[in-house]
Amino acid sequence: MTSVNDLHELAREALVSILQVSDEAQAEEIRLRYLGRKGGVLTEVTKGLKDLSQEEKRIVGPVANRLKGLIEKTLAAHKRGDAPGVQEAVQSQIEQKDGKSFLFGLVEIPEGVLSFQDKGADSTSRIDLTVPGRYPPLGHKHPIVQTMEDIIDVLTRLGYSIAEGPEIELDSYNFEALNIPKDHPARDMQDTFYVSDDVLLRTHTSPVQIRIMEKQQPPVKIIAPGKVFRCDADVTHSPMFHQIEGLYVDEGLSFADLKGTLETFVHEIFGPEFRIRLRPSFFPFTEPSAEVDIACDHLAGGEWLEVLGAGMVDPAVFEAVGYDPEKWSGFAWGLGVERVAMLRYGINDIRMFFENDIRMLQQF
Amino acid sequence: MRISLEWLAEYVDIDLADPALPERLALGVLMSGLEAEVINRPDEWMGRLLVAEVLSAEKHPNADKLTICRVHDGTEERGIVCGAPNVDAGQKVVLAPPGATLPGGMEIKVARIRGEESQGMLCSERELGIGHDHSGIIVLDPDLGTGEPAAPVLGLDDVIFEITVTPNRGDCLSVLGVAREVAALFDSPLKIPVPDLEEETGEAVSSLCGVEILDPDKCPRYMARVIRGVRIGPSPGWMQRRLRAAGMRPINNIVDITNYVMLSLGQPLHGFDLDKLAERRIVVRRWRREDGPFTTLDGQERKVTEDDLMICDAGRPVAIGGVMGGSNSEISDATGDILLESAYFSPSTIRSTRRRLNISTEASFRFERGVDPSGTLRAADWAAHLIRQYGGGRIAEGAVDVHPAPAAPVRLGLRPERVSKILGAEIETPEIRRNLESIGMSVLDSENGRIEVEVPVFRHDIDREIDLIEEVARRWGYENFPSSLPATASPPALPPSPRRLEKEIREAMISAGFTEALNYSFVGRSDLERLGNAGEDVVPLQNPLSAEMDLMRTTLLAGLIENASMNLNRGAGDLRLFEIGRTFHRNPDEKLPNEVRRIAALVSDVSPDVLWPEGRSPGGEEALPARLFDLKGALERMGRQIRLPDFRFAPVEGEISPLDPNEAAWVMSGEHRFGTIGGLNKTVLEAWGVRQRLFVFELDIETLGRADRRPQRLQPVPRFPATLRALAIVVENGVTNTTVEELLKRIGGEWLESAALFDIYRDAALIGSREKSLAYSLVFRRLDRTLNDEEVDQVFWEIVRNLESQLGARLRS
Repeated sequence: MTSVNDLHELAREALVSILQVSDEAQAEEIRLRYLGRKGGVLTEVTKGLKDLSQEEKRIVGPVANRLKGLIEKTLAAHKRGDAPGVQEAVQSQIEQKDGKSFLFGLVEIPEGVLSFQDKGADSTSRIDLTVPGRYPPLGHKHPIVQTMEDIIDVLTRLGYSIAEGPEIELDSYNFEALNIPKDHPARDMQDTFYVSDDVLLRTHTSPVQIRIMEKQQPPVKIIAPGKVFRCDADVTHSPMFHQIEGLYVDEGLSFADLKGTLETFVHEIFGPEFRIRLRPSFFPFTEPSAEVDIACDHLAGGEWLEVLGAGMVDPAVFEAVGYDPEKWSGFAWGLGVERVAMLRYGINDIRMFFENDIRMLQQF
Repeated sequence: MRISLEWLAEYVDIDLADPALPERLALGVLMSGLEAEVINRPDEWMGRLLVAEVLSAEKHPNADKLTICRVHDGTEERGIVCGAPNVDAGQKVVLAPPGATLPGGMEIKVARIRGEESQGMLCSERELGIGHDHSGIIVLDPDLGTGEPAAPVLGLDDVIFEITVTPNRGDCLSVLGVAREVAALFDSPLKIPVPDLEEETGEAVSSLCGVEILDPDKCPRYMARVIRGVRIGPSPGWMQRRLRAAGMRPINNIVDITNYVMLSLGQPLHGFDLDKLAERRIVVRRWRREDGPFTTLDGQERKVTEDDLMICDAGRPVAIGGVMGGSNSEISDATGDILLESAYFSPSTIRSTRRRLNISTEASFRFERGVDPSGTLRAADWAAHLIRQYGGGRIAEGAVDVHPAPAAPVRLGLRPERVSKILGAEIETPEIRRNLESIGMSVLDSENGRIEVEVPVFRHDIDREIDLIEEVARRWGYENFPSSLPATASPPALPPSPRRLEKEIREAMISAGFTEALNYSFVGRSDLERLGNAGEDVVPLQNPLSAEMDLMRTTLLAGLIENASMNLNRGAGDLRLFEIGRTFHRNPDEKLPNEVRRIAALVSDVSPDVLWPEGRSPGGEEALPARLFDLKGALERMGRQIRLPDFRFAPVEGEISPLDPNEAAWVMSGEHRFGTIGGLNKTVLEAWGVRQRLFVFELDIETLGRADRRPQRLQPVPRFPATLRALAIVVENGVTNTTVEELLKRIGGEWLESAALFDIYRDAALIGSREKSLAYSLVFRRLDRTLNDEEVDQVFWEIVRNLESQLGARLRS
């Protein structure tokens, strides 16, 4: 004969056992212990029901039955290798009242018994978290766009605004206003695609300088990112590529300021370990003009690599846009985004950028 | 341009014994503005090369293209198998004996080639790294001694520099020009060789020829010398070596001398056969129609025009001025008397003729960049001297010099304070002076601290104060400048550019799993035609790289479809690509075409080897092209992400190329169509060889950017429970989801929180073949109170009545 109090104790013990089961054999053991036809703990309780009062029967009977169900579920769960199923089954029989847990809403369960996570790991129920995660397909930004955005970020932090212009340009903006008259050999520096005699695909983003300066009085501090075109195609030349050009016009800007700006810029984009070298060169729209080389021990064996063209804005350009070259001075520079991306990612063939093989694009 | 160290040393004092000189010189020249690179230095392998004589050359019995040669190297006879087509008995050639390792890393060994033993190799220019020619082996001067070292003959015993000159520095296109820079760099004296004019032993030049310039703008100066009784033959070996090292092919003594003097002094020269000039006269004038077609000495007929400057005799043109001579006056083996031209042509004339005729020569290259107008006599004298020395003959006394309006040297003012202001460094006046004088400027004293500078006439690039400032900076050395950061405050930022919206769209597409592509902005006409996008508004290029890139794109789809086709061919599946870029459309009212910023995206159909549930409609009952709805989903998601209000899809009446008419829709915002979405039609798929379906959209970002995308105001968060109802109706096939949804929202008003389609069902037997069932889950809720069932039922039935009356729908039982 089992009193209600005994039953509570019995139920608590049974629950602890159930939660400790880790394989099918142990589950079977518990089933035998509680439900065995001879001497099973619950079997005995059921047999003793007839001796209980009507009131006690109403409590003990259902509890014994539900306990029996729980033990059977435990065995079944372990049989199909679903150890977490046991916890679910138990959990579904627990009710919370006043911060305490009650099995079947009746039998109070002391704290700790139900904290599954504290239970030691076992090989059946442990989840293999080295299995690949599930995630929606991953998109990729084109490496040229990534490089361009990184450069733009640095420059906007230095106070430059983004300006844009048309990709198909007038000869006058692309060349004439930039001090490159017709029949000047400098035109050979940039093989040009023509749409008509005075309309062309811009060969650099410099015409944006002119368009902005025409509209706005100094000071001007802009960058012009975008596509440019030259009829040339090989491993290091693409008929279309991207440039970012910077222009800063104000009173009192000097070549030394240009040098300092370029140093900051190179260190931000490439890293502080890079050395920088300016050497004289020629661009019709700047004077003095410079090619900018960078080098660092871990790149190309420390060789100097040409990455930028720069210079002080030529007075002829200021005159073309109606600025007084005696009052204003300024500097400009331009760089090829592909060139930077090739150095950055170790890409040797510029054409790979425009082939759009996803096996290449999805590496970035 | 290639020049050797030893040649350079003839023009400037440098210490040839210094082993570090080549590098020091190259770096110094580089840092003063010419790109210089050491491309050859004497090396051990070069010492092994020998001049050898080909004794016999017979076809290889087992190989068509090979020749078996017997070759004598001065000490012994060898058998050599040679693959060059030009090898022949009697030639003097360059032999690389076994043991030599050539520049490309090729090690010469005794080998059996198709059964024949080969003891060494006969070399081409490219194999020796001295030129690009690989069409045959180098054939040397027959007078060379068999067995002598070949390296000096080839100019390989000297350091050779490759020098690249920016277009403004035409004055550096010669040994003399580079020597001037080097002299300034090392502060050592320049040496200009002076020819011996005592050699003028002939008649007066004026009695032998006449020169007349009819177009002095295009030809400001024309000078002629005459040398009579010349014997044409090969030029001396040392000259051939220098020419070869400079990348030029020796021809005969006269041609070689004119080339040699051009390389030395920068002044192009031309030798005419004096007897072939009618009346022994030179007339410099433009081409005239009656002159007829003109054949240059390379045998090509040239389409000259009335804008082209011709060198003529009394009747006809004999050369295209500054570009190339004519075959009618060319020097031949029979030539005895020579008229030597040394002229100055205006750079723009030469440039436009050269471009029009598409011929670029060493001469035109220099004239275009401006030669030294004061150097014509020096070059003519020097060439005459060499011709007499190596071709015999008598130099006529004097030179004809027609120079109607000599230009005075340019004088410029320079303000020292301006130098400091522009450069940001304090450079003292004496320093400025020294820098300018080091490159041949005359600095004249003047008042008020202003410096007066006279610029040598060969510096065509200097005619403003800023040009002098640049010279000061260059000579001072860029590496010596301080670095500073601008002390001025940044001006106010410009308003944000449309790039910002592009960026938001890009982020949205990437977060939806799409990969960004970048394609060329030009495409082939045939591609646009196939896509139905080659209308009146196309913008063609005048000089495309190829027919596949002859039009500016009018749609981004051409590129994406090409990318899809290529990737699928390479075994990829499950493609999700997008591109953001501009399309170009001719605008008849403007010079420049319209440029439209767009985004296009493409998804491929489910690839068979990707585990993916079959395409199913919501509810799973009806097969739909799931990937089209993936694409549409991505687009809708993007619309929400960039806060695009009122974003909807409208069916297309008729066709929009290149979409399948059954799978096409307009993408709308308000009443604006800003793009299309759908499946590509079969014609397009076949044209690109794609054997699965592709779905695409293309939108106009500019139109999209005009929508009001301001952040919306907070909507109250509901505090009262919702009531759910399911609604299943049967409608005609043509009734779209949007039509139903719009009606639900209109009638449901503030009672209906949302309506979501969850099932589409067709069954001919149960419903009828012209109808379909649509099922919606409706959420009813009010913000101010809890609804009761009666109220919800009222609205629900009001909706049903309207569906019945307006759309002919009936409830599905």
